[in-house]
Amino acid sequence: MNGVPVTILLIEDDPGHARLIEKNVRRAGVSNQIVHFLDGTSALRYIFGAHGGAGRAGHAPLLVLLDLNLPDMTGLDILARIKSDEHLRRTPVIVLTTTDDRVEIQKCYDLGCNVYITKPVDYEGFATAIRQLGLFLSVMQVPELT
Amino acid sequence: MLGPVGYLALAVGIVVLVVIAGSSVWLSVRNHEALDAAARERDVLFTIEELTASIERAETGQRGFLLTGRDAYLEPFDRATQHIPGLIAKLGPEVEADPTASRLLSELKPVIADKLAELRETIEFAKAGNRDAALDLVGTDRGQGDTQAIRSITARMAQREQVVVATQFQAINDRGRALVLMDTAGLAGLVLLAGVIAFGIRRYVVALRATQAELELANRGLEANNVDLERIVQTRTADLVEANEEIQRFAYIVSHDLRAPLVNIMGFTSELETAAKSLGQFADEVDAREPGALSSDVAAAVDEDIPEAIRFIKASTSKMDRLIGAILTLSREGRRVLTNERLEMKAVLSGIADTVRHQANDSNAEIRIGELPLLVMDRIAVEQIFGNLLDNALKYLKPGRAGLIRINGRVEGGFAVFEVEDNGRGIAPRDHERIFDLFRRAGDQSVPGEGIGLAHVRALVRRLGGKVECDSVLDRGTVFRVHLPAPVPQPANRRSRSVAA
Repeated sequence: MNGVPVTILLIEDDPGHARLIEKNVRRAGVSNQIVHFLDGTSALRYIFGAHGGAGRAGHAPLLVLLDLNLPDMTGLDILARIKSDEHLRRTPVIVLTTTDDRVEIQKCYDLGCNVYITKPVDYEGFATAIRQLGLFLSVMQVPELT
Repeated sequence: MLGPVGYLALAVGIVVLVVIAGSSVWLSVRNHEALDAAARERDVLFTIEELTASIERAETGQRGFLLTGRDAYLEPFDRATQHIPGLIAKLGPEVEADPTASRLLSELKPVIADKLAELRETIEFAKAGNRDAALDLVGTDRGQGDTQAIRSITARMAQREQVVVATQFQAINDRGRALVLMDTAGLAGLVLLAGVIAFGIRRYVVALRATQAELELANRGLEANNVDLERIVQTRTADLVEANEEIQRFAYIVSHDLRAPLVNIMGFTSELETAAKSLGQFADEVDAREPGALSSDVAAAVDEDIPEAIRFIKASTSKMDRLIGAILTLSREGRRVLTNERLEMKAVLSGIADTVRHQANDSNAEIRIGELPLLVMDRIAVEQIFGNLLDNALKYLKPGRAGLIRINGRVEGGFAVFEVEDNGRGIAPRDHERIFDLFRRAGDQSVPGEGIGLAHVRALVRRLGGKVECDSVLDRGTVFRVHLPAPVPQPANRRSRSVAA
């Protein structure tokens, strides 16, 4: 991702899924740092730190890959927190989840999600989708944090 | 209310009263007639008295004229003699009915005539100046006898009339007494009847009040029962709805949560496959370079065991994936909001038949659609039901027999009944219920399938408020009968139509 090294934040409670996502993103030639969290609480702690969104100024910009089904909260909470933060609201959030429920999709876009992707269940489809996502990420522009 | 005895008493009382009233009227009429008759008899008596008096007056006038020779005495004589024939004529019709009186009258008439003739003769003698001759005539017994005869006859007549009048008065008296008795009895009867009626009415009113009270009590009980029933129904319905929602949520969550590990299994199996391929290539290279370097165990693992295991894992995971997908579809269908619309079912089924035309042609099958009743329902659900049934019919045709699928319908007791009939391989009786269960299939498993279609049909039909059943003879064919609520005729439409007409 041109110039500024972007950190990919992967919030996914299933370690297997996370591993498969990482593998396929890498296969698309994306070499950015991927930070993985298994639950919402630790992910939020990483994003906002002790000083909230402002604390991340000067750090690497983030790109969030977000699963909605988390053990301690729903991904919607994290999405809402990011999109309502003055400093982080421009951070791209890609929701990557198993649900293809219409209402859920609408809710995510209403909250400001940038892309919503349903995980294909068959592995071929899944792998292809993630690799394409990786290709997409490699040409994507991410605003710097202010 | 009154009881049989009461009604009998009432009837008897009324009959007795009517008889008494009738008799009273009859007696009164008879008495009135008798009084009239008595009055006439009295007139007859008066007439007889006047007749005797007139004869005496005529005689007095004659004596006076004979003694004095003055014409003044002739005047009462003339008046009396003129009066007498009228009186006799008056008596005639009065005594006609009584033979005794008639006989007496006929005896009286000649005597009076003779008496009057004698009187006139003496007066004629005196007028002619022959006073002695007149006195001689008076001296004879003729006049005296006549007078005595007249007195005797008139006395007998009067006596006769008095007897008649007395008898009549006696009868009137008797009848009057009877009338009083009867009226008294009638009055007593009336009082009694009034008593009976009052008693009856009282009993009736009491019974009526008791019945009313019972009814009110029963009504109140019913109302209470209704309220209770309604409450029970409401509670149960709410429970059922809740349970149903719970199941839907459960199915949805389970299928989602089952999918996550499945994705891993499938994903890492693919990774494993890729890795195994690399390993296989490496083994091939080693084997080519240095034959015999690989043990037979390693060669078997790389060439057969690993690919076989992966194949089985993949087949199973994809099957599991389809099953989970089916559960998800069913639970989603259960949560979908239904939108009712008017469905011309013949057109709907023709549309479905078109979508399976290719499949039908492949299996040399014909689809015939008859006249079908109209539905007002959710199009997607209805299309899904009949799509699945048609698909099923085409899928399980008897090999080697030209397929014929007939769809017919009718309205029966508030339900539209649709029959999808095929001449396919049929279903054994023990499987008629089982085929509607999820993931259950019947008969020869040569045709691929998950056992989802009919479960889906039953879930949808139930959700639409209907039922589905199956009639089948093995090797002969199957009829699926779908009962769906027929649309209720719209009263508003009917009114507007009648206005238009």
